[in-house]
Amino acid sequence: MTEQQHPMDPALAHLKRSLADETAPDFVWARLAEAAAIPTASATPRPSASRPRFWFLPPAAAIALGAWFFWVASLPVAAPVTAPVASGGAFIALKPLESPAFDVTEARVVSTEVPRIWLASAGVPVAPERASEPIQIDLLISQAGQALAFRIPNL
Amino acid sequence: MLNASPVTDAILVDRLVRGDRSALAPIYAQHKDRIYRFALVFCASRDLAADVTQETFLQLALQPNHFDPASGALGAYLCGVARNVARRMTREESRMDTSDDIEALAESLTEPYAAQEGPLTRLLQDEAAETMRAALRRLPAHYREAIILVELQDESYASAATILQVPIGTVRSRLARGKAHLMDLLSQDVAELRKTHA
Repeated sequence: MTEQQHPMDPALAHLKRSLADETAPDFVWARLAEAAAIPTASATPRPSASRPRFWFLPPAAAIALGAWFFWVASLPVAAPVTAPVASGGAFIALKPLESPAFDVTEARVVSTEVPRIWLASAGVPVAPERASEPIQIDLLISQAGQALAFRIPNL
Repeated sequence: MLNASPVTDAILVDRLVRGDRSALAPIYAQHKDRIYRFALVFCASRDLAADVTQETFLQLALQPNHFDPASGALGAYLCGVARNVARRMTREESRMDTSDDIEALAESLTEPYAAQEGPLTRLLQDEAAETMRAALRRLPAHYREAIILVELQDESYASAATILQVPIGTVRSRLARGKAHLMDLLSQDVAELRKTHA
């Protein structure tokens, strides 16, 4: 800057030097971090506040492991296709009823939570904005450990 | 003069836009003191300066897409946000009682401290700086902003013009008039006080 010196310049230069020691207090960051972490309705889906992003993986893995165990333990399987389906509402088949794999002999019902998007894969319409929300379902698991059908108990 | 790398700033803001709030920490670390100092002089209050600093970065965290890298550096953008926040907050505050500041100014101007060194000198110099801040606070906001940015924060005229959203010529004229106004204010205060003590 090649401006002409103003009578106020020395005083302003002095003020500038005194400001060099001024730093934002630590509590500002603490307050800011707290305020910035508040989720907004548009930015964060409701369940994310209380659940980890891939919360459904552990129960899904447990179901898969159980299914595999039963499948290995009981091969081969041959039984008539009669259906002693548990009470509590209509099940939606996940396999064709005429399939040999649809064996409900000694089948059992397992309650679990899945993300709603899972329902879409079974042909149930799901609102996109609620796709990641959990939903309670009953799974009908065959003696061989295969998921045969499901129902939504709280519908 | 803003020292942060524009590339780094742009990357960090992009992370904020994508929802990664952890990017706020390095941005805050880089720019917090400049924003705080701007607010401190503008508001002449440490409490308000802290509030302005918090609000400025909170706005960036919540609305990062309001920053357009094409229209200037992040530091200049944050200064612009801080300016608006500070203006709003100072409007909400009642006017400060400056009688103590005027007295301090008169004392600091009559003490022969300039040639000395030591704790007393330091104390008096600090007092003089505080008095200057209080005087700046009484300047009209548009003069005050120009003086803070150019004289106290070493912003270029172009950068100050971007922050204040006025032409460069306006920054120059506000700076000159602001200094003249500031000098008048201080002279009047001292004259008045001397008259009172006479």
